[in-house]
Amino acid sequence: MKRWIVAAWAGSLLTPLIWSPTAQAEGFGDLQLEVPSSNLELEEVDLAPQGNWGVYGFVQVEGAAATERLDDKDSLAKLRTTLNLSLDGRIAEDWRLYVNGSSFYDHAYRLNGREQYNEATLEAYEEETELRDAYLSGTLGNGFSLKAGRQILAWGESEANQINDMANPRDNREPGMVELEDARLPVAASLLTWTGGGWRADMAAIHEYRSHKTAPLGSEFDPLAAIQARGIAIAPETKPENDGEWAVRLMRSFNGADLGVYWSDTHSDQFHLEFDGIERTGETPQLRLRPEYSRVQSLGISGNLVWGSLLLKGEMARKAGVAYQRKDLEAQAKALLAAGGTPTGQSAELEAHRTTEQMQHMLGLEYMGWSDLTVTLETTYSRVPENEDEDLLRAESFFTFSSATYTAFNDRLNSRLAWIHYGNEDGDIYRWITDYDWVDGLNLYAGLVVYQAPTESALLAPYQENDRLILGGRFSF
Amino acid sequence: MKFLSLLLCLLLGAPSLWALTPREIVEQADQVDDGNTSITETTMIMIDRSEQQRIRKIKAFRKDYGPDKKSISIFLSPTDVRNTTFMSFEWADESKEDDNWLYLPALRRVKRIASGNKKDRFMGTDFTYHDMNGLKVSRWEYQMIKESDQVNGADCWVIGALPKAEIKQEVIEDTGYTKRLLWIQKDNFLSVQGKVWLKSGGYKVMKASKIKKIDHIWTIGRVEMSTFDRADRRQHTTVLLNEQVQYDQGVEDRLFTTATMEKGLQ
Repeated sequence: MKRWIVAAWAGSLLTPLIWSPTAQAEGFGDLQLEVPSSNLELEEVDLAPQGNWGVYGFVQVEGAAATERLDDKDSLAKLRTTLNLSLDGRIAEDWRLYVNGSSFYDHAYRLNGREQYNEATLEAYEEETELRDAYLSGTLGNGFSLKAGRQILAWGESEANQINDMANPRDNREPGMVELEDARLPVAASLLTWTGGGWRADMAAIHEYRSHKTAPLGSEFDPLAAIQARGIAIAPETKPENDGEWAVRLMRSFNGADLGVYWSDTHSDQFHLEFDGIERTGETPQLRLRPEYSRVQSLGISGNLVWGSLLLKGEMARKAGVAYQRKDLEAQAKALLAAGGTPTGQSAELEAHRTTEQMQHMLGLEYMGWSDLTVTLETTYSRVPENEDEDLLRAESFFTFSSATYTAFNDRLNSRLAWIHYGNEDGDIYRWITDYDWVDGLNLYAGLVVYQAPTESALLAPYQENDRLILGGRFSF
Repeated sequence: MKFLSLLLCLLLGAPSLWALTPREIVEQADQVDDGNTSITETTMIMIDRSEQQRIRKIKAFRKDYGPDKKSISIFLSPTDVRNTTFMSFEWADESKEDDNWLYLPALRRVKRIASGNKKDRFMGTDFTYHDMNGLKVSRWEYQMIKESDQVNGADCWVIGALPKAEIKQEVIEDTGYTKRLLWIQKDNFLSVQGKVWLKSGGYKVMKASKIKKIDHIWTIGRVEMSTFDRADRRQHTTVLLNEQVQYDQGVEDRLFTTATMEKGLQ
């Protein structure tokens, strides 16, 4: 059934390509000189030049229904009101201040009954107020510029994956529900940039550590639900020391192409699970793991090449310090207990993960040759180089992102269908969203997110019941 | 002195004007002086069939490097597209692809974009990317349709244009236009009116007005482009109001970088 829905979306996007009426040229004798008048009366338009300061933002209301349980009284998965405010201004010649903050409240939890959610779920999803960007940027002279404060450094070519884009974590609390690029979280950093003669060099010192925002334990998108279902307990996570992170980029632009080289030394934004001990409270001893974050050094390159209406892009990175989970946790624990051992968190006898090197390769394309339609396809292959350890989980993996975006009615209507495919039979996410500019400043949208998992052990298997029908509106002011 | 100028004009200028072929007129219109640099604030009004209006404001910087051109445009309003920035390097050498980058503030990311489909609408307006940058003169053949016609009280040539026979299909596919009519003002070679027939059916009409000299350069203050269907019903109109136009006021090279796009052009 889900596949038919996706096929219908794809068909609706491709119809304009198949049916396109044409009229052919005749001779000079067919040129009719009559020019009709549009007879339009324009509304009053403010033609004053833009001021140095602006305060603007939006109010958004978004509702989401859980399509797998539409008959249940808690089928309302979201009814979120968001206020986003920006202050943007020039404080001096060539110096700009930008501050952006966002706050939301989700009424669905109160309407459904707050008692049916755990504290962590309410804390993550019910309300949030956050200072996002807050930076000062300006020109220092001789090609140098500085940007200091909380900011996003969106580096690399990939739209969907973090290959050389190591500075900013993502908001993964609702995987697949937001555009992958929109999910970046700002961090406090100082960015020094030099440009000249087609070259660009960026040096960033990152002063704040933030990890990915992930769904809390026991929530619908709990990423550790499958592990907990195996009877493994999860201890509170350990955040790394905020001991400074660094990222450097060198870019060169050519006619029709860009090339980039990257180096970074950062803490991983994604946790791995470290052995924390064995609980002996019940009849059966229970293995306990703790989320931790490794330190990752990365060296990579990126490039793009324009060929007519086609943009080809690629990225590659070699990383050190990437943590891979082991598949044989329970077997290791059983063997230790059978031997009479009493492993603790400090013991090296149980290896929950292995820190090793990783190679990532991304190849993608973007095609803009069809009227009003943009098609994007990119695939990422990650592997542990020269790996002989068969017990590393997902030591080799594929990730494919593809999308088709169609615009109509003079850009009033935008429709995007995205398909995210996880290799190793880990599942698929389909996301379709259509928005329409009703009047200036008011945008209405509707969408559907579908999760599919081919097996019960797939990465997306716990989310199979989490399909969402989305309706919303945004008023910008 | 004035008498001498007038005499020279009568003796040399007027005969040379009469001698111009339609193609030469179009070439002169294509090369009309627009300064080495320009800074323009444009208000863009998009009007649909029910006359509902959407308004966008853009600030644009342009600099010529010989026959090549670099430009950077930033959306000032409305707020949902504010700070969206488009940078383009246009090369006179036809073997070189134009370079284009787009900065979307929601993503905080500059991305290179393919030259794409130049017959597509520019930012949802009735102008295509080809209309904004100018169609290649050499790919069309021209014929004088009317030696004299009045537009806003000014005397104009009316010139018809058809794609060259040997590249007809290629030109139609590339531009989306099957034939064109151009009204070119005789005293300043500005295109003040146009009518283009669309491959998909229907046609578009362009009208320029509020023409004045700024810094000794003829400048169009208002351009209106309307799209009509086969039954002559207006589908959509875009009005561009060019305000705050400055020529040759010093546009620095450092503006045309991806770092500027990220920083903003306040």
